[in-house]
Amino acid sequence: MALPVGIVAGLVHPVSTPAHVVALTGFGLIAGRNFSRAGAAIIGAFALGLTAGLGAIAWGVGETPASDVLLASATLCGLIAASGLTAPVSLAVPVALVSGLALGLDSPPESILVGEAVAMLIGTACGGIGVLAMIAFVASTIARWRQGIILRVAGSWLAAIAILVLALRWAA
Amino acid sequence: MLLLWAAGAAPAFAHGGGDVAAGFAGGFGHPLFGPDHVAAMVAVGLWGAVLGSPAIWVLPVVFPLVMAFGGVLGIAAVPMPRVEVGIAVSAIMLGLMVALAVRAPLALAIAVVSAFAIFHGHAHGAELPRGADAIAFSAGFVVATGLLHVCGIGLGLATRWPAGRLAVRLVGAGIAGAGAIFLRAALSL
Repeated sequence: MALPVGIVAGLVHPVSTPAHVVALTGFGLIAGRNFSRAGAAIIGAFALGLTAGLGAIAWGVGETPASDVLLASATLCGLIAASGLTAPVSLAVPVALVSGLALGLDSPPESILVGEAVAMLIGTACGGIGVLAMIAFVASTIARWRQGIILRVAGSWLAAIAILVLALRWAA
Repeated sequence: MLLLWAAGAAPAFAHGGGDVAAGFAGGFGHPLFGPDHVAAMVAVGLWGAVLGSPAIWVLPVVFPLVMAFGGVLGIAAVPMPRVEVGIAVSAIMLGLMVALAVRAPLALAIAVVSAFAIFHGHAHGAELPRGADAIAFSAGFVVATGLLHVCGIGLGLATRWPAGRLAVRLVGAGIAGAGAIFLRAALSL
């Protein structure tokens, strides 16, 4: 049986929105460094925030600066990854919560049909959590290779991208 | 992940805005069509390879971050005199570092590369498009810049062999020479 269109659109939403890709990748790098210690707690906090954000959207919350928050989070995560430090769990969990919340608030469904919109929100939740878990797993594997140099370079690139886009938005 | 997204992103979803793939391609090509930028970026990678670990990866980590800071200055239209001259001088200086195989301490190498990164970032920042595809464009040009570093590092790995050391130094001299041409052109503007 084929999945409803809304679910599919929601599943791919996190990887079809550039700001979301940058934020998820940046946060995935941080989660990956903590994967064995506190991976479940971090991804759980992200899932909680994402669900709350999507719930708020379903409740009818209007426009928010969620996209800027996501980019700010990507900047922070990128800088931490570039430094080669492992973010303490006491920092990673709140960042996960805020990132998830911002991602949810920045993912309004396109459909005006209630059933399809709800399906999109559910798909977005599953897609966001799944993508984050995959990035974190890959990052945790790469982190053990060559002192995590690839993670540091990726963090540097992500932070640079996020800083530039934030500057562009604030200048507009 | 970023490359996958650029290759396969469908712009028809919620924040589609502009054409993401086209924005990424535009940003990716931006540094590649600036020979002064290409020369300096390759020289950063080469110099890192000449210096060895940890500079070989620290310089490519530091450069994009400082370049982004320079980009913010460019976006904010903070005046910076003779940016093109600074970029040309970066090619000369970094080329000379490679040609002369200067074994600078890491902190000094970071300072030199960071100083030049501000000029490169300012030039790019001033030209970044203000549009929906800004993030794709930014991603494209940061990734292209990083890959130019990787090219330089790849070439620089030839320093493991005596003939390779000579070849790398010659490439550095070539970059410095090209930088002199860029400088002459920048000064004539």
